[in-house]
Amino acid sequence: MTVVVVGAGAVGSPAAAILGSQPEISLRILDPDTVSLSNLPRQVLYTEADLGQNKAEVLARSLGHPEWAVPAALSDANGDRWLTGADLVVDGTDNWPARKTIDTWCRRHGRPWLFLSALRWEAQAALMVPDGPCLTCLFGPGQEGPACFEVGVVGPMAGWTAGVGLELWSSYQAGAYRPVLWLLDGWTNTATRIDLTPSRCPHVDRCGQSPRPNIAQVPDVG
Amino acid sequence: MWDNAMIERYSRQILVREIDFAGSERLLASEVTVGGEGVGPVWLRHYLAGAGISVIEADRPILQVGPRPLRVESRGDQGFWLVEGEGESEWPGSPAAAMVAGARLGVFIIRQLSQAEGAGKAGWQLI
Repeated sequence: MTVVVVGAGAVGSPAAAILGSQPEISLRILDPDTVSLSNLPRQVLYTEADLGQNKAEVLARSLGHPEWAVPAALSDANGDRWLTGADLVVDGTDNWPARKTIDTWCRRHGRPWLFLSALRWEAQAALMVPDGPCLTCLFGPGQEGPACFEVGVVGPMAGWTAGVGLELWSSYQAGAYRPVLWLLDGWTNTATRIDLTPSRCPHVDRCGQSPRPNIAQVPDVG
Repeated sequence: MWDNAMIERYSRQILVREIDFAGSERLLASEVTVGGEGVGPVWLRHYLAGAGISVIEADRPILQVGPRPLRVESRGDQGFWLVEGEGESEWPGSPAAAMVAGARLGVFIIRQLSQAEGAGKAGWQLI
């Protein structure tokens, strides 16, 4: 089984550590960035000795598999190259364009992916499945929120959401998954589950076919 | 105590309004004992140390925040609870669930220790 972890930061690195310890899973870890001092409080697998080194390479090495590292950024142009063969894609990114790339590729190829994000005392987790709602169904187009260098983040919120995401993946593999969005609030210490309705997503085409029509787009035939 | 490297290192938690410099100084002056092997205590130690807390290892799976003994109790499908009192902690069995417990507990302890005495602290019971 192959899992692609896109982003080896606060969310991607704990997810990779848990997944990479399972012998039946091999990883592909993508990240173009290097370890910096402000990463260390929440990207806790890195140390001062790793400063300036590529995150994917440091993480893959620490997991005992240097060949898992891909020191590159995911884009629409290289999606096929890095995501082909993925049984799961883990979103460890911090920006909307990268998530849209993952979402679009995964829906076209019928693969599940984990949407994960953490900021301040808040985090979100959802396992996005091909016949469930897409990112645009959930959040609308172009939802670029504030970044961690603007409003900060409490480090372990990232591990909390990564763990919740991996539990969703386990239930999916056990055949017991229905689409949900988890909202985690570290200040009030609450986890809220939102059940999502299976929907006919009109936003993303599959296998190069036209987007599925929504009712407003179906022409009158009469 | 705040030179440029310290500010850079802790900048993401200093930016969190409820923590700021004052909360970060409280964290840097705090001490937590976390014993035990396995995914839960390992990640808890990682996150507490990352936040600047002094983490002390113990040879038994105990948990102590300052002078206060605490205990993680597994509740099967109900997840885990943090309760006050002496005793050995039981962490969830699956790696993902144990990571959730370790990280969530880390958030909770960081919240408690970063707040001024009597200001906005919750009780110690964690569901």
